[in-house]
Amino acid sequence: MFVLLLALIAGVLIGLVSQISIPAVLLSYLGVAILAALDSCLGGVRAALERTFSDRIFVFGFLTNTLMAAFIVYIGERIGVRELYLAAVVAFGVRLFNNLGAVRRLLIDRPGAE
Amino acid sequence: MRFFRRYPITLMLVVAVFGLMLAVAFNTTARVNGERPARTTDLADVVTEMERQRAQLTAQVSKLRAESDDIDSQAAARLGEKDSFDAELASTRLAVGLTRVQGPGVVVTLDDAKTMPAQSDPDQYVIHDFDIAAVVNALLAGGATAVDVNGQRVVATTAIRCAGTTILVNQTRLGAPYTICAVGDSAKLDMSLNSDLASSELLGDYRVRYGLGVDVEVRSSVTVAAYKGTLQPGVATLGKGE
Amino acid sequence: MPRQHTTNKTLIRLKDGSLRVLKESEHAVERQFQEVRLFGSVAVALLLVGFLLVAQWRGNAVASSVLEGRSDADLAQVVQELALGNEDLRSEALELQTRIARSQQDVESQRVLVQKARSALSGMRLTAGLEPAQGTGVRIEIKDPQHVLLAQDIVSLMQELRSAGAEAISISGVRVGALTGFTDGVLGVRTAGTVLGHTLVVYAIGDPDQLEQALALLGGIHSTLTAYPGVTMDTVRQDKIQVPAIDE
Repeated sequence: MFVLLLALIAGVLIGLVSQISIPAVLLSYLGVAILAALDSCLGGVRAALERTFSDRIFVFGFLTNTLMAAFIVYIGERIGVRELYLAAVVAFGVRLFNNLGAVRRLLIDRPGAE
Repeated sequence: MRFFRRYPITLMLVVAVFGLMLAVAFNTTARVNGERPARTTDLADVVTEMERQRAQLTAQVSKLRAESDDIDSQAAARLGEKDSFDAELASTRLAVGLTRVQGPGVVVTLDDAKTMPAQSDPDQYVIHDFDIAAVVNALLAGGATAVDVNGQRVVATTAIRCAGTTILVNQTRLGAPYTICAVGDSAKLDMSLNSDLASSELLGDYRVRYGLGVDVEVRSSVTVAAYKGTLQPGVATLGKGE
Repeated sequence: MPRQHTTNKTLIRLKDGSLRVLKESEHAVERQFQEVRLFGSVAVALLLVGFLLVAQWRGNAVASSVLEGRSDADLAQVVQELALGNEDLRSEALELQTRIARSQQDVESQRVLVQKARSALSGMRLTAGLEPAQGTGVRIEIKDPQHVLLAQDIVSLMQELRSAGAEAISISGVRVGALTGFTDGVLGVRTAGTVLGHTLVVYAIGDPDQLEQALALLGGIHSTLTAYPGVTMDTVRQDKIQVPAIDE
C-alpha cells in the first residue's frame, strides 16, 4: 500500500518539479480525465488485491477511460450541452466509490496475507 | 519485497502517471492565474503608491505652510507690520478655504442603491459625479459659505469627476456613501436643494425610482473640512482690475 | 499431514524460515497493526489530495480578487490626475522649503520676506477668484438660440475645465469661484444676480493644449453640448486673457 503512495508522490513530484503545464483551454478536459484515471487506478488496485490483475486489461482500461472522459466533455461542448461532462463525472464517480469500497474491504479483511 | 510482488509494476507506473496528471493540472492552474491579472496589478500598485505619496506630500505641505507662516509673521512683527500681516494671512486663509468652518447648515448623504432588479442598467443605480456636482451646485446657489464632499473641501479649482467606479474630488478617490456638508442658512439651503432642477430630480424622482440612498439633514452645527491641497497659480498672473 | 483449516488463520514467516500459525491474541495485535498502516496510508493520500485542492482554491480566489472591475483605462486616468496633483504639491513644498531655509540663513531682509509672503497670499487669492487674473488659455463661445441649455450643463462644463487645469474661469463676464452656483431661471441660466444669456462667452486661463484637448475629447463636453438642438461651441486659444475678480 505504501509503495503505491510512493509511486503517486513520485509522479506528483516529477510533475511539479518539471513545471509541465498544458494550454489553459484543455484544463476542463484534464479535470475529468483525472477522475477517470483515478477510477482506473483504484480498479487496478482492487484487481491486484483480488489477484485478478491483468497488465493488458488495466493499461487499456486506463487509456480508454481517460480518453473517453475527455471525449465526452469535448462532445458536450461541441453540441452545446456543456453539462454533458456531468454524465462522465457521475459514471466515473460511482465506479470510483465502488472500487474504493471493494479495496477497503479487501485491505481490512486480509492485511499482510501471504 | 513482499510489497512489490503484490502490486504489479504496471499498476505502479500508471499510478505515477496519475500523480503526474495531478501535478500538471496544478501547474496549469497556477500558471493561468499568474498570467491573468498582470497588467491590472501593475497599475493598481502604481495608484496605491501615488496615493501614498500624495498623502505624504499633503502632510508635508501643511507642516511647511504652518512653519512658513510663523516665520513670515515674526518678520512682519520686526517690521512693525505684524497686525496687518496677520490679518491678511488669516482673512486669505479663510476666504480661500484653508481653514475649517463650523456653523449651522445641512448634511446631504448620497449612496448607491442597495438592490437592483436583474437585467437592468447598473449605471442608473449608482451615484455619479454629476449627481454630486448637482447637489454641490444647488448648495452653492443656496448661499453655502463652505462645502465639502467626504472631507474634501470644495475650492475654486475643485473638479468632481468620475474614474471608472470611483469618483475623484481634488484628485482624491472617494467611494460611496458620499457625505456632502455645507455651512449656511439651513432654510435657504434646503429650499435650494428642492428647487434646483437637477438636485430635486435626484432627491425626488430618481431616489424613489432607483432606490438611491438620499438623505438631507438640517443641523445646527456642521463642520466643513479645510482644504489640504495647493492653491498657487501656474500660468495665471495678477490681472488688471476693472 | 493433517488437513489445515486455514480460512480465518494467518500464517507468519519467522526469522528461522519456519511457518507458524498466529495465535488468536497475536492475530488481534497483527490486525490492529495492519489497520493502522492502512489508515495511515489513506491519511497521507487524503493529505495530498487536500493540498492540491487547496492550491486550486487559492489560485481561484487570488484571480478573482484582483479583477475588481477596474479597467486599465480608468486606472490610467486616476494615475494621470494623481501625477498632476503630486507635481503641484511637490513644487509648493519646494517653494516653502526654500523660503524657510533662506529666512533661517538670514540672507534676505525681513522686508523681502514679508513681500514674498504677501505675494504668495495674493497668488492664493488669485486662484480663489478674489483678484483679477490674466494669462494664456482658451476662449469658448457657446450659442444657444433655442434656449435649451440648463444649469447642470454649465456645471458640467465647469467641472471639465477645472479637471483640465483651468486656474481662473469667467462666464459672460462673471468670475467663477468656489462658491459660484448656477440656477435655472425664467430667462435662462443665471448665477447669483446675473443672467448669463444665450450666447455664452467663457474664458479659461490655463495650459491651452490641455484645455483644448479636454474639451474636444470624444464623448466629452463638446459633443454633449453640441448634441442639443441648435447649440454650437467654438474654442479658440488666446494669449492674453483677462478675467475679473469675483464681485461681491
